[in-house]
Amino acid sequence: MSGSAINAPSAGDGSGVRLVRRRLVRKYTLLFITLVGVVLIVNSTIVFWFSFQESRDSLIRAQHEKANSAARRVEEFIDGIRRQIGWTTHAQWAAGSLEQRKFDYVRLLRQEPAITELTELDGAGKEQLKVSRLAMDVAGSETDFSSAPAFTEAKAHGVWFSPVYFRKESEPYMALAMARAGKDAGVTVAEINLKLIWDVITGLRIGQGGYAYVVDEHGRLIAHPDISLVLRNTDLSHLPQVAASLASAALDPSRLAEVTTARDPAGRSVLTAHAAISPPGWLVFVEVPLEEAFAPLYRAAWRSGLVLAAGLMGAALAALALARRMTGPIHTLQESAARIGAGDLGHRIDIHTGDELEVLAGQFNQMAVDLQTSYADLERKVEERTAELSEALDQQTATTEVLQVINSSPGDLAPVFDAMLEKGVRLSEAAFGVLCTFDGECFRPAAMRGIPAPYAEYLSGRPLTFAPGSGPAGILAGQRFHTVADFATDPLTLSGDPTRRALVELGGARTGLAIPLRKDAALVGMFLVFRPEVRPFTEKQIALLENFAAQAVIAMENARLLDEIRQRQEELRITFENMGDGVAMFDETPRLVAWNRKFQELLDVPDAILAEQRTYADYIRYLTERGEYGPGVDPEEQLRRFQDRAGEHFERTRPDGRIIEVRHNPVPGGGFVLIFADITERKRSEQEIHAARDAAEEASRTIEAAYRDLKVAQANLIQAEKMASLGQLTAGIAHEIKNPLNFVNNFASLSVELLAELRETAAPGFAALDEKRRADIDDVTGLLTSNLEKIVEHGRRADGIVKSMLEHSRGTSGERRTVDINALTDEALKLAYHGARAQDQSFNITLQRDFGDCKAPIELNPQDVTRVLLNLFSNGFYAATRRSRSETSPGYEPTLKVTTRDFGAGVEIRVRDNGMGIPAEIKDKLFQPFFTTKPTGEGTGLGLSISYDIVTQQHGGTITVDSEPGAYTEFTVTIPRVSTLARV
Amino acid sequence: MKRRELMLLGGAAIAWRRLARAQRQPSQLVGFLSARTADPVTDPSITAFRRGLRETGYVEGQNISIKFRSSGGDNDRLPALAAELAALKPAVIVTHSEAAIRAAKNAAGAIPIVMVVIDDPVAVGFAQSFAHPGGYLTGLSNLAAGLVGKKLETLLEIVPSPGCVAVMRDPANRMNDALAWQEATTAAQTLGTVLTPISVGGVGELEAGFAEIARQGCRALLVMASPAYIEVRVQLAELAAQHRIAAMYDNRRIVDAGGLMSYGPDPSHMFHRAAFYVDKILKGAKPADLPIEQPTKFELAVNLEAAKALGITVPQSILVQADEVIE
Repeated sequence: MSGSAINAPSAGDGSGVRLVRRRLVRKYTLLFITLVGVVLIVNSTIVFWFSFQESRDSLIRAQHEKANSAARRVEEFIDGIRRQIGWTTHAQWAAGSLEQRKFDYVRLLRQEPAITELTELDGAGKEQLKVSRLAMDVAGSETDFSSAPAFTEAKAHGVWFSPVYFRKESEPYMALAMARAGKDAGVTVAEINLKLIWDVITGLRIGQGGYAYVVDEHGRLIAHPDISLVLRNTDLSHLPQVAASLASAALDPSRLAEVTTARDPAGRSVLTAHAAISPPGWLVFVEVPLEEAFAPLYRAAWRSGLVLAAGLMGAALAALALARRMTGPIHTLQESAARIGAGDLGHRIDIHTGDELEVLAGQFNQMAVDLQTSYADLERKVEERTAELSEALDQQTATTEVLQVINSSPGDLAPVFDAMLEKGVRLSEAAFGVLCTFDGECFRPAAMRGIPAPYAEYLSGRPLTFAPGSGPAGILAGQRFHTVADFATDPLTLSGDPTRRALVELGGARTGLAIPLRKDAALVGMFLVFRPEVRPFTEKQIALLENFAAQAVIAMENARLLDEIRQRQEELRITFENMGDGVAMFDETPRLVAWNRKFQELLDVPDAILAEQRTYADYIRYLTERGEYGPGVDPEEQLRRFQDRAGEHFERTRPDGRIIEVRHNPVPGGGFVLIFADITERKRSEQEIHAARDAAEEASRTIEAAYRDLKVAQANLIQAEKMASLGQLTAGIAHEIKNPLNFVNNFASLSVELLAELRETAAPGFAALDEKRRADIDDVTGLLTSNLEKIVEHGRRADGIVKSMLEHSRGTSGERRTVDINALTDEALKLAYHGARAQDQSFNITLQRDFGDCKAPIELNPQDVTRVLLNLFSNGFYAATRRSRSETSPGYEPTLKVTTRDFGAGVEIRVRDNGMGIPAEIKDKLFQPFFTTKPTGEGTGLGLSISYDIVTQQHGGTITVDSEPGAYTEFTVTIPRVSTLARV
Repeated sequence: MKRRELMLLGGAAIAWRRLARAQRQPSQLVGFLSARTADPVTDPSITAFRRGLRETGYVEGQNISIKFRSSGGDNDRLPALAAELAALKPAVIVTHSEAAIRAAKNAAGAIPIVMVVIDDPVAVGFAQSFAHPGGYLTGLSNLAAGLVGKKLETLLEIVPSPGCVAVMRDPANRMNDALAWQEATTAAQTLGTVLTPISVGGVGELEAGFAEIARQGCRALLVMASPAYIEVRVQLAELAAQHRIAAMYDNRRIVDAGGLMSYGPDPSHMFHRAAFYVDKILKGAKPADLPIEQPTKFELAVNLEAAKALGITVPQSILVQADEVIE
């Protein structure tokens, strides 16, 4: 059964029920209709289908027959004519007289209206007689028709049908030629007006709209109910049925006509059949409009349809009725169930259909009865429950109120205890009660309620004591609770304990209950409630008080914790406030939530701004606008900059000059803390340290430099000493050698002179000697002379050396003067140049002068310095000239460049030649005495050594050499204005 | 009950269709112009025409109405009558004989005209060709000219040597008549006889015509086709009998009225056929596309009484040929 019946909505009940009611009826109705309908339809369709086929077949057959009959009729017509003509074609006829023959023909014309003209052709094909309805008769014209097909074909086949032709374009005619019987017989030609076939055709009854028409072998219309089509010489070969038939007829004239649907000349759909009219080779078409042809079929279909519709109608009605009947009881059930469901439990369903529905109704009734009983039962139970619940509600409310009190005064226990005690006493239906705390040693009353005055008086000022066997004792002992049903009979009372007795006599308590306040296992307090009457406390009341006890414990704990927290908070606050660094805490928004005094003071933020607890962005903007980060800074820029540097720490200078270090530390859970430290002092210390360090470095560098100088000076000193000692030595040697050398020189030159004298003197004697002796003597004398000359030469050389050596050791002459260095140098240069040219005519060198601005005179020994310069110049000349001799590169010009500079502290003279240069290993030995690179005989090797002495020892300057082998050599002489070395 | 409604609707639709089919178009007007007295009730041609209309499903007064105008033989009245008819705006005008057709053609404008009894409409200029007339005229031809030869031959069979054969010609049918005269002269040549044309336009000229024939000494008369002669058939027959002239007419009504013989198509048949032309035109066919019919059946009518009165023995060959023999 439809479950929806029972769950019909109560609001608008009627409509809901009605809606559902329809559904079932509709369902069944539809089911029946569908069932019957399907059967009917299927049946009708099958029957109709078969009858259709049969009808169609019979129709087609009928068409066939009609076509055939039409063809036969036409054939008959033609046959009739032939028969008629046949009267005149028997063998003897032509032998008859002209009158007879004419008479026969006239009679034939009379009998056969179709024939318009009769012509007699003789055996040779010549026209003998012509009788016509229209034209005049012609006799014996002898016109030759022997080659006409009428004659030839007729003679060949016995009969010939001419093609259809039109007289005056509108009258169809055909010639029928029949050969006469007999030997050499002629042919009778009849002109037949085919319009008379029209009568035959129109005479054909083919249904109402059907008709027949005849076409010749070319598809030209010969006969048609609408004569005007014929007269118009209509060509129907375009019609598909005509074309097809002509084609098939051409192939096989005896083939059975097919029946097809096609379009007639007027364009309507028709059922067409054709048959051949054999002798003339025509085709007759019988066409029935499709509508008419199939009219019976349509009628049959229509009938079937009507019957079907009627059947369906009947089925629908029957179905409706049946469905209604079926669903009646169901609806009754539905309504009754709705009523019962709505609450009318006394209603009984009344159905007597004698089937399952009745059983169901009975069950519904039973269900209603059961419902009634159970309802009554329920009501009773509900009442009980309600009573219980209201009690529980009271207790809950009390508990809630207590909790509210706890919430509203955290930490303050007094109101809590009060409230708790008041509620506890009330709910446990006690008269009075006490709430005590226990600190480990004794109980202290925290709240009292309803204490009778005498007892209260007794209690005041007295510590709370208890005796064993009393409630508190029991609690202390660990009991869950301690109750005394009747104090009067309690042993402790009877024993005369004063406290108990006071309770009983002054307080009037008869029943008592003590509930412990335990935090975990430790006792922290106690509830005591008393009744003046003997009525034991119920489990529920005990439980209630235990509940309150627990809450009291919680409240006490809360208070304690809160206290602790407050203490900590205070400590933290002090720490925070007194920190040396400024701290600002931002939550995850980020918004400023906490800061300390130092922060405020460091950044100079007024209270008002801080109190607003702005967001980080606002705070930055405020600071920027105030000029915190410098003038003309864009707040958004600044914000972005800070945001980029989250997590780092950086330093910056405040407008007031203080340097602060800002550290950004993220906080777990979002947000961050900014820590500001005033590092101005630190910075300053750092700077001082840096300065000190720099100074120390500077000093160390200076010391290093001095050390290096010292080393150099030391070397120089050693060198100078060496040189000095060497100088002294050489001077000594030179002195000693000088004399002997003189002797040698003098005596050598003397010897030369003496030898010359000898030769002169001995000349005459030599003349007497023989050639050979004379030669030998010449040789010897020559040899002697050259040797002596050599001795002289060498002696001079040794002399020169001694002189140089003496010069070398002469030391300082002490003649110092202030000179213009440029002038000195220039003069020396000229001297050197001309001296070199004097020695060697081919000597050529390019001189370059680069004299600096050395206006200030310098004090030095001009002679010695000139000697030095001369030495350098001659070295330069020598090197350049030597290179030019061996130099292969084109464009090489020996050049000597002299440069002078004044450095204030001294002057510098550079002499640069572009000679062969000095290899590195020789450079060190350059200034050693007697060291020379010149070949033997040239130079003493003392030049540079002496120069070195003069410059360094006499003048305290320096002389250095720089050279690139194969490119240049440059000597640099510096002469200080202030000598740092003591004169030797 | 949707199905029921559907059925009702279906049934109604079919009934409607049937009803519609049964009904024809609203009443159409047909004009009839005649060149001779033509009583709609008694005239056989007109009754044949009306019969033909009935056979094609027209009920006079319901879906067709015919307006008759006849000139009673007076050809001068024809143009006015034609105009009158044309003014009524008929759907089609039926008329016969060359003069009436000409008048109708001139007055009708675009109104289709069915020509009944015209000899050679192409030669006269009423149509372009038999198969395809073109224009607004169509109808039936009576091949009057083509039959002339035969008529003459037959006449000469009855009166072998008439001396000369008079040919009565109606000047109103000038074109047709010219054709017929042509044919007649050719036939006469073949037959070896002499023709004498006599012009008779109406009843007033009959006496004079016959006087002329008598003067010429012709004992045979060939009467050309013209409605005027049918109009005066009685007088014509009488006069022929009076003058003892064997006459060959073209219309058997004259033979019925006492003429000797006639040979030609049956005019009733032609008027009957004319109804089909009217039907076609009323259904919307164009006269230009309706071919002009030629007669198929030709009647030879012989009045034996008249023959006896003339003292002529009708030869068997004629009698055999004759379709109508009036005793």
